[in-house]
Amino acid sequence: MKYAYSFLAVIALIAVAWLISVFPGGQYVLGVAVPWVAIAIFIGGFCYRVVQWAKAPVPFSIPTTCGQGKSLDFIKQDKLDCPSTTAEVVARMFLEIFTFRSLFRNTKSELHEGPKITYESSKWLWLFALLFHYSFLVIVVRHMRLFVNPVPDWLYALEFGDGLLQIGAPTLYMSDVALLLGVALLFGRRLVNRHVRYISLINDYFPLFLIFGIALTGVLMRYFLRTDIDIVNIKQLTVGLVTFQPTIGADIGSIFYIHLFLVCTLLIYFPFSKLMHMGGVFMSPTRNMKNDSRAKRHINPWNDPDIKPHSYAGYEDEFREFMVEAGIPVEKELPPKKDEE
Amino acid sequence: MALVKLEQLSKSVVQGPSMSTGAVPTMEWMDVPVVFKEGNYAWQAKKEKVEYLDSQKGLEFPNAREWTPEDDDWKLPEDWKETIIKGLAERLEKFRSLKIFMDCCVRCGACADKCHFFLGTGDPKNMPVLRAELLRSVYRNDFTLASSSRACWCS
Repeated sequence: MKYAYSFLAVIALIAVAWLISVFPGGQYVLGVAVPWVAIAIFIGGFCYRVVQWAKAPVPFSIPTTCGQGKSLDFIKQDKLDCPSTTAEVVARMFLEIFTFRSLFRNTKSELHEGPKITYESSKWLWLFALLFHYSFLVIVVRHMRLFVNPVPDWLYALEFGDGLLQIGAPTLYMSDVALLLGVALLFGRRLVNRHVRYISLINDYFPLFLIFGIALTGVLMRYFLRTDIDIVNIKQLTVGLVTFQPTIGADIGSIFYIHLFLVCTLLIYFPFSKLMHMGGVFMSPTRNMKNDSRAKRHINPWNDPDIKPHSYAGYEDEFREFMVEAGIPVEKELPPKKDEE
Repeated sequence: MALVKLEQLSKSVVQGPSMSTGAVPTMEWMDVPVVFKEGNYAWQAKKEKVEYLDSQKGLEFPNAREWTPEDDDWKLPEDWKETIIKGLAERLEKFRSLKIFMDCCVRCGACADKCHFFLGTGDPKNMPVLRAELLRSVYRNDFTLASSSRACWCS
């Protein structure tokens, strides 16, 4: 049922956008006011979240270690899975962010008579996530052509590469298909995998539907509903948005405003939702710390500064008399006793 | 029931209805009642031990009492909810990891198959994500923008 609510929420958003777009003056609300507010909330909210995270201290050294840590010379260190230098941390982080390495290592367990438990590699989540995130990235970068004038050569190159299959006219972008497919597969996984279905909440389904809606309206606008979609007009508006001189020339079709409104919803929703894992992956202490707590002391910032370190020598000084009395070996013997008077 | 035979357990873990054997709970995890029975909880501290600890300098062990988790009335202090919310607020300020993980778990479910408590019991509430979700439901209710805006609208 939860996915039904999320689905209805996106339908309602589409209806709202369509209603506003057909009202006179509504085009300025949807085309200028809402995007500006959305961008401001996105940037402000994202910064707020990251600052809030950065303000919280990291009391303990808690990097996730998944391999042999740095030890004696003849023991081979697993440098990627148990990084002990900044360079190794950067390498691990790079692979995590660009190839989702931890998802690649995902396993699935099964119980058998015996009882016996078996583990097998399970790469579906990794595959779907990779498909989804990379196609989304390509699409976002492609949209940068709307905000810069003239369009740089590398953007043309990216568009050419994305449409390399040269199917149909206008040329089919592979990333469009991949994004729709990626969202559909991630949604399908939420429904089919019984663990994930049980834990899924409305706020897990909502972004999926929202992004599917964005991709679908975009695809419709590019390939099918092309009446009233004058790209020159749209570019005039989008360049106007970033140069703070927005103008809406001729009428633009409602489908454009629906697309834009859904994007704005995503931008506003982003900082206050699980989508913040985009920032969180960089800030997570389990990933961005190095495992060197044996070589370097990690100072807990909320330690009481009045509690000084107590060395063994100091401890022995304090208790030497009792230790000798109890027969515990000491490093420094008691001073020779003076004769009792 | 106190002692479970190994043979029994080795059969029930594979054949009994649980999340790891293919059964799907009919209730939402929030609505599944928690049943305390001997063998699945840690023993409470004795009254006199808590009183002794509380009397020590620098320690605070309030609310010493006779009780067991199986009682209907746990004799908790009136403001126990406040204590939990205060405790969570304090820890959110003290641990960056807690704050980040409260905010950006995507509930991909990859943690379920790695947790030996879940694998051994098949109890869906023992998936790490749901254990965290228990706390996260408090966090969402009291520490997020949605909760503060709700407070504004409702007051």
